[in-house]
Amino acid sequence: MKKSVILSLLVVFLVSACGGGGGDGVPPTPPTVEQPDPPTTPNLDVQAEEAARLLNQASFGPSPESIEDVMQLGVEGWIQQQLSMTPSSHAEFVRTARLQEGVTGNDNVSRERRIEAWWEIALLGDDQLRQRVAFALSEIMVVSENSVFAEDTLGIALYYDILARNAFGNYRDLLEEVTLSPIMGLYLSMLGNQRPNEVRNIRPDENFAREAMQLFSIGLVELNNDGTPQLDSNGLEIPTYDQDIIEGFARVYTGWNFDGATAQSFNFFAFNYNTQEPMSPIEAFHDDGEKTLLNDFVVPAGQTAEQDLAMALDNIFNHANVGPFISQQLIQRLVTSNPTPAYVERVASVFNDDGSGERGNLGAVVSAILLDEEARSGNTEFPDTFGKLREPLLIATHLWRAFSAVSPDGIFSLGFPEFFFNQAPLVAPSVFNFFSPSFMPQGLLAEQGLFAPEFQIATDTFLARQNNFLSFSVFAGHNQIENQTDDRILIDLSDEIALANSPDDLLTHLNILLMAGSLSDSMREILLVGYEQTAGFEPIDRVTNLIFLIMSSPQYVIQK
Amino acid sequence: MKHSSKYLLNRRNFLRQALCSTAGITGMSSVGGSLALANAALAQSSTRFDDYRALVCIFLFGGNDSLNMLVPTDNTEYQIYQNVRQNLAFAQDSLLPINPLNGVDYNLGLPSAMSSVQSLFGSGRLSFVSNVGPLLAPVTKQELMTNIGLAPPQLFSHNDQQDNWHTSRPDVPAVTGWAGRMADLIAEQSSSLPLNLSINGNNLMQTGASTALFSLSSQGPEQFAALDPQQPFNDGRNAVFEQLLAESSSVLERGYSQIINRAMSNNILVRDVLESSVQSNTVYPAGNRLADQLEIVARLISVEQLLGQPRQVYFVGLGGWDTHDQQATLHPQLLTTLSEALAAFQQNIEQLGMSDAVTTFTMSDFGRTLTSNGDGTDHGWGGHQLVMGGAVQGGQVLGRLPALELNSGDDLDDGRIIPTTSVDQYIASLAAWFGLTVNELNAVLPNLNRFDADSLAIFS
Repeated sequence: MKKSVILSLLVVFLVSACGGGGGDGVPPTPPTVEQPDPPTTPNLDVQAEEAARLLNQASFGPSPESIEDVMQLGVEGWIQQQLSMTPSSHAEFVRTARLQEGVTGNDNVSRERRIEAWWEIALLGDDQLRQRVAFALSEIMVVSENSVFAEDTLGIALYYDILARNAFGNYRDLLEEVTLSPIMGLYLSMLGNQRPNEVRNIRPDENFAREAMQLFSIGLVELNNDGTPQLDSNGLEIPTYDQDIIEGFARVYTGWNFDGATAQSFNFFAFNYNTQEPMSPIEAFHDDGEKTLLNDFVVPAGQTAEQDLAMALDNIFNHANVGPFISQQLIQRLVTSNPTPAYVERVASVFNDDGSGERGNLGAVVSAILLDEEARSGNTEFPDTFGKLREPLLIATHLWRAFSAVSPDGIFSLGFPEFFFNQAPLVAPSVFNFFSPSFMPQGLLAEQGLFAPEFQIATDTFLARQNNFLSFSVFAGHNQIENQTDDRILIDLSDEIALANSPDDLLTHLNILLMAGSLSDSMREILLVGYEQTAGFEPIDRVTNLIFLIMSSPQYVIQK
Repeated sequence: MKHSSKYLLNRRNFLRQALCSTAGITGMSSVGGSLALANAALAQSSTRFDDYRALVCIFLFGGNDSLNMLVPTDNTEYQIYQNVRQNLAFAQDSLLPINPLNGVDYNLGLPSAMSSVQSLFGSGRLSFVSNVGPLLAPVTKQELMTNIGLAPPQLFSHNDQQDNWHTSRPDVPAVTGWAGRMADLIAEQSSSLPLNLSINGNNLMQTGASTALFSLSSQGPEQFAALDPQQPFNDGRNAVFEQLLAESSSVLERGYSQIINRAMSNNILVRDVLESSVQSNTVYPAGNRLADQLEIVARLISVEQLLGQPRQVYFVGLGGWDTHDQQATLHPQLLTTLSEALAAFQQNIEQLGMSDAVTTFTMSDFGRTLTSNGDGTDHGWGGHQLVMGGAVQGGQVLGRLPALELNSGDDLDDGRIIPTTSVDQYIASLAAWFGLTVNELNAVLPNLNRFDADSLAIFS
């Protein structure tokens, strides 16, 4: 019988605890008097593969335990459970690190500690879906430590927490928290932005006004609900805004500064510095004139900064583009680079109305993305074009989750992941992220008109570095090697070594854990023949070689 | 223009000698691949170009406030500048005067941060091209006031205006860049190494329809460790990996196989060639992100004959120019970084004796508003660029300097300056020097015929 370690464990569990079938959403209960039918292996294989497929899209990579969870709860049940999970906090982790190191006030713990929080939560956090969506949002509503606040690790972690806390909340709340984050205020220079002074030729700063619309909410051109651009009678795309509207928003976003700043201290940056609280308004610096925003909406004169802001964010939030614009990008980050317009439309419709009349319910949007028929069966329906290149950071988290990595000193110390991956959490080169949603790689993919955003960072240099990270972490990063230093991150391959002499079973196991069942017959054959040729090596070396080859392969790196 | 066959013979002799020395340095095992490739290049080398030329693009990401880079020095014009720029204006007595050989509308100086550029300009190694930007066609303020559709779409957006510089096709969404399209036309097919080399990752400018770019870091090309084909202990693993690449089925998988195959062969080729390069004795400024990139460009240029492309385009970049705030502090720092990197690179190229063969030029998203937001400036349109090299007719300020008064005929609004030289014209001048025929120029720059193609006399 071919079955993996995961499945062996699961069969035992199902037979003893649950009754045959492993029903959706059924909590573990004591055995009933009924004699259960033993579940058949093929069904379990398929269930485990489907669980792993979901976890590629909805977590930092399937682990044996999370595959079991999904099989227990079913896809819907697992998503429901995830939606209700309490957010892990990146800021809490950084605060703990500050306490440990005795760091106080405006001093900071190092960047490595902030990144360590990201690894810890990605690898071990229970709120996998929330954190995975937060990571996606961190590549849409971008701030980057490549800014004046580079050292402010706690402030940056607080920004990440905004994304995680609101990942399943309402988009309008998310937009407001992002807007008022002092880190965003510094990054896109809304903080300290002041009303015009015509004598000195000073106009309000347009930075946040422009990028918040172009990148965080509505995009540059009017969209249909399916994400395709609307065209005018001449067949041309229709801009969503012009320079006058930018200037209207720029004037709305005046008067905001660090919490605690006053009209007297408005320009004393270091004195006011406070990234622990949202920005607050100082009316003396706010432009309270009339402003025209999107769709000819007029903000009346004489309002406070807060009243203006509420109207402006409502104005953006209610623009018809937000649903398709945000839905399409979340689909690209989680599921596939080239969703069909029908898929985008189904998700955007949920954004527009979650069924209870609420607009912008992100939890409902995320569910709709993952439960959509295209997400669940696009791999068989559109085998040529479905899927996406895995982000290199997510290959690392997958490796470490799949093989239960631990660090002997309890610290996940990979503090500069961009050296290997060309990306790291909140370290993008600009507000345009590490890659563009519309990037088309030269060659085959551009010829076919296919988007493949993650290819933008897969340069000749970083393809090599990323692969070298993998070889280092697989061949030299496991706990069978003695005398590893305590700060290493080590995978545990004991389950795989146990199968080393049953290559077929080993491949069935890895097919679930790494390939989510997508291992083709021909690829299996290539790997089996190659595995036979390593017969003279130690089991650990045979197993690591096999894992390295799978995770280097195009068949693996394209998540399907 | 054909060059003498004598030069061609020299080029071939150099290739042979260089290959021998490469073999001596690196040992037989690692040189096999590059020997075979370079020999192939030698055998099939076309006679179209028998000399070598390189274009080096320095992209200033974010939008250089270049209206604060060329500053009027005469009292009247300086007063206008000072009135508009207020607290972002450089002090009149801090400016480093330059004396253009051609006639200009007002006398100019550079910020004190740019003393190196002042020297390069004074010694005839560098010129400025003023007020360049993307245009659909020549256009006046009056025309734009009645129809903003005469301006490129999504003006003032970073990535759209960067794309305009990369593609020179503001009228259409383009998936190829102008340097990529040049490569499609003139690249040597015999070399697997692209004509387009980037020290700054992927970019649209160097992306062709049939040709890709090769990218490496300032430290040189990166090598695959566990998939290194030159390590015998990897043989079994490599054989399996090659079969997996060949087994790729979906378009996305095959697209990935394509890029990883390229990376594996070209990383080795460039490493082997660089091993034969000689360390330059030019002292590059330390801690200068741009100089780091230009230093490896110079090293690659020093061994260009082994890289198999008699024409090369290099792409380097420097970010941080989006000075919405803290401009008075940040912009001079950036100008110093640029200025010192340019000087070191030019010195290195001259030491290689290749000054006439290498032209360095800048591009940037846009110029910035003449008006400020109190602490910085916003996205504008036209801006000034620098061109440097032995072939450049230095000491000029080409194009037309814009008026600096607000609401002038050059000011679209708030000091966003309407370009008077198009990106097409700027590139055409560079590409003509590079060796493209008139027909090729028009193929690479389909909108060039909307402008005076010969207006910029950048080269002597």
